Amino acid sequence: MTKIKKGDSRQVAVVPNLQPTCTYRVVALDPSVRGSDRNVLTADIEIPNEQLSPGPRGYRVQVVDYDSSNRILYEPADVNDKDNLKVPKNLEKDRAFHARNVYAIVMRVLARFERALGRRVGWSFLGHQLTLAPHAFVDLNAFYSKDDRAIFFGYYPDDGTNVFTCLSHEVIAHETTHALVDGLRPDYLYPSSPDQAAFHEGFADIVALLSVLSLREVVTAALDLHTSKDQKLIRASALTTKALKEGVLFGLAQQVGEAMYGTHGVALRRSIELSPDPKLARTDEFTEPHRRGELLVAAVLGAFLKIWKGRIDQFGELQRGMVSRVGVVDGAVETADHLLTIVIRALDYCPPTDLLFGDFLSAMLTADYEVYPDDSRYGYRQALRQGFASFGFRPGAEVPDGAAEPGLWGDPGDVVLLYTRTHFESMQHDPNEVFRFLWENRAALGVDERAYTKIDAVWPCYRVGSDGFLLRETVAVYTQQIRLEAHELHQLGIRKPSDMPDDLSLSVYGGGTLIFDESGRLKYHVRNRLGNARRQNPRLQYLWKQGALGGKKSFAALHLERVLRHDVPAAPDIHSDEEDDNHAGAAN
Amino acid sequence: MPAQPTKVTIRMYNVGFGDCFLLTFHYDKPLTDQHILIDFGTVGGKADMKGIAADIQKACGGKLYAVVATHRHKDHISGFSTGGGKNSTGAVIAACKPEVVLQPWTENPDAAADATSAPLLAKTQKASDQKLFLASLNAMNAVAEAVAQQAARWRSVRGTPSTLEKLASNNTSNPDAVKNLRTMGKQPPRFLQYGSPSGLENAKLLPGVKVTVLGPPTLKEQNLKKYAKNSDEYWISCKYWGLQEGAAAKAGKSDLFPRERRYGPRSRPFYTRWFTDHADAAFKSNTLGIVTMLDSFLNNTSVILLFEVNGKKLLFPGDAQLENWSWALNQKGIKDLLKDVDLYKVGHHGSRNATPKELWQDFGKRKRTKGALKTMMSTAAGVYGKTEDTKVPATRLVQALKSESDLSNTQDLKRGRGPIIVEL
Repeated sequence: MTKIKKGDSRQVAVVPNLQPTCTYRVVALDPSVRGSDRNVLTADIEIPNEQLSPGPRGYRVQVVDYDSSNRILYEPADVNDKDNLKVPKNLEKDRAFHARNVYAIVMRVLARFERALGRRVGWSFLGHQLTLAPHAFVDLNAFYSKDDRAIFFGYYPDDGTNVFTCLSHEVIAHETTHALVDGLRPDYLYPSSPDQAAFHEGFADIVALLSVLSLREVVTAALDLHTSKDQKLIRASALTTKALKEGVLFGLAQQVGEAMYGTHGVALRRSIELSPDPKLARTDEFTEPHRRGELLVAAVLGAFLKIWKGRIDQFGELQRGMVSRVGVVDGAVETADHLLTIVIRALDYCPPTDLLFGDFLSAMLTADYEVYPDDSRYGYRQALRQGFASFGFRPGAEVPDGAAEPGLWGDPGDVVLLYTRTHFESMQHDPNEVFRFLWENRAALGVDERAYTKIDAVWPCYRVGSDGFLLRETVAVYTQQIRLEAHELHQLGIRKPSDMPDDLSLSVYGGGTLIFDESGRLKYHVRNRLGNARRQNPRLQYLWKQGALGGKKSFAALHLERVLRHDVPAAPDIHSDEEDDNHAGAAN
Repeated sequence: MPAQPTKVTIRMYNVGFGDCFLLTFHYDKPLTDQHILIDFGTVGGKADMKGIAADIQKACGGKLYAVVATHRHKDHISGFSTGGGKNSTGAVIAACKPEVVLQPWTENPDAAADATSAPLLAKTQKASDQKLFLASLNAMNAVAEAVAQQAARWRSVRGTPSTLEKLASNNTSNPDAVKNLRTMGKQPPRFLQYGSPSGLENAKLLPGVKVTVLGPPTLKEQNLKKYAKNSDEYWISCKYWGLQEGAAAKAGKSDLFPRERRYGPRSRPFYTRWFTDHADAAFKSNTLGIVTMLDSFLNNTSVILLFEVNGKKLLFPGDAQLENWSWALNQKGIKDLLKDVDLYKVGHHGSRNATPKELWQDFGKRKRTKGALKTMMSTAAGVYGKTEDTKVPATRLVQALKSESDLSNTQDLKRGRGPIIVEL
């Protein structure tokens, strides 16, 4: 036991708590959602344990309670393990609880990503500690900002009280996902296809939704909405797929949606209520990126429902016409959790540029197949294929000869690759070494040597397989770029849109993900070639028509556009506007 | 054969950043010349508004036939303000006793509503889509008002207003100008929409002038493309702007946790300083996004008028942006109608997205040496935007206007004196 002098503020720990994890009680959905005891519905979540400083400030997340609208910086909230399970009666008034709530939920999402990917995962900015501002400003928005290394949670008055986005589990998980995905796949914010423009929002909604559906408290409460409470058995006839969707999921979405007009609630509700229709994806309405993400969410939710229902059927009836309530809840929680692993792990199997929903589907199928080759028990992959097909999306992988299952990425084929000039050990982590491999094999791998090419990341990963052994993989990501004038496009085999001026200067992007197996051999090469006309032509046509060839969108703008279903016009650049302003200018 | 105007004179006054056009239709006797004033407002740059009002009064001989207020932005209607009483610019224009005042349908006071009023926010009481939409527009004015006030407190040491402050203040409501516009006409004001009669049809006073209204589209028309698809979405949008109005009013004036300890500005811990500076900038930039969005909503309520006189076509689109234009441009026959436009008032002071590519490229009289397309642009650089994407006027557009048409630009006036007079 460490002794500590009174008043020694440098000292943090008195007795180090050596448990690897700890439990926090957080808002399960949103403060407006009440449990059967009429109190705010809460959930207990397990997150990595650490020695916190007041704030809380930890090794990956720090809360700085600064309100920009009112220019108030509150002192950091005290941290004490004994408070972790405390939930105040009056949520609105307890600033320390707000801080604990955002801290714990962000850490849970981070830990979930790390578990699924089998490695440490960084934020999208340089540095390690993401700043959370739980009362950042008065506004109907919450967003992640890479430049500010932070998530800002707005609050706003409604009907005499304040709505705090920092108390919405779904909003917190959504924003944390942005911060992580932007680090893993930074090019997804660049203009490309409607699919890619919609991916970030859709994916963040999927992670947020599956995160809450993997909480027992939430599923139990959602079932309560639909069935008689506190019974150990539920009538099986009340659990048709339709009833699970319309009774349980809609009820859940309704509650989230009502509470969060300004943020994602509305979009989330719309996703859940969408009925499958393979033609939707081609309609004007769903070609708009603001709505297209809903299709992605709906496809994954369709799979969730199908698997959940399949599991309920497998449990069988305990008494005539009745099934076990615990079993029904377990089925949902385990399904959500496994799907969460699949969708996160799929990021590693996606091409780094110009993502299409079909690519994401193939990535999910391959990611799961690698660890669970046998899909027969619960049919996850089958349900995903069906869920996507019901909205008109086919796997991006062409069906290779002799593939084990439809929709999986194929192996690199019969190409002869040169491994002798690179070292096995360095290939696991060193971008220069992987680049050498890429360059030596550029012809075999179809990498265009005219482009600027760089290795963005090399990640060694450990994943636990169904046979109990570790699946050891290395994921390396490269991107390519060529800057040219429009009249030179034909040199890449790309068609120039007819009314595009010849002298227009533009960039063409490409790249790939290389997955190496445990012996360092290339297992998958998931790519978008620079000169792939089938992909590049429609992309260029679309961007030219939209007038959107340059510039990344901020998450703040993405959210606003989604609520109002309207493009946010390019705003004047405020940072340059205020060069002589002490507040902004002093920042860098 | 009915009488025809012998010529048309267009006066473009230099109002700095804003619009003010006086159209004069000349007739042989016994008919008298008729004058239509399109917009009179400013929001930046130097402008002698009183001098301009006096010149308008003189040029029209104390009598206007009509006043058009294309939309409610300050840079189009501030000159109609009566603040300052009898000598105000608004009073001078009102004294010219226009027969009629034309405005977009969105200004119709009968349908106006307040987004934060309880009945609109209660979902059980369904308000009409139109009411919800108009309530949203009013809430946008209120949001802008609050932002403008707050941004004024953030001025830099030099004290010059930021882009945010300027943009916000252009979007605040102009109650006395609005009231003046409502009451100055001999007839009650006319509220226009795509395809409606212009209200300028008058065989006795203004013969030989055909006016087509090309915008703004009605809700039914435009929602096919953008704003909302069903009542639920109108409601959500109205709720959003209503809440945003409440939020904006609170910014800078609330303290969530008055009893909680906080740091003074000079005692902030080291690790928070980089962040708090960034947070302030992020907040402003986020606010600017919201204000830019509502600004473009209001621009898209602009009246678009096409005058046809003596075989010549004059196009006055206010500040209409792509969403407003796209309805008209997709209607049968409209592109043909616009092919041979002779004079184009450059939309929205030369911003990038107010002169859609498909509109500009279809003007058949571009690039002619004889009988070339005339363009008139009222603008002032340096008021809005600095980057290539956001600058008003946009460099690429100005280049195209200069090289492909006969451009008159208020920025080219020596010592800022005007008006620029173009005759057809």
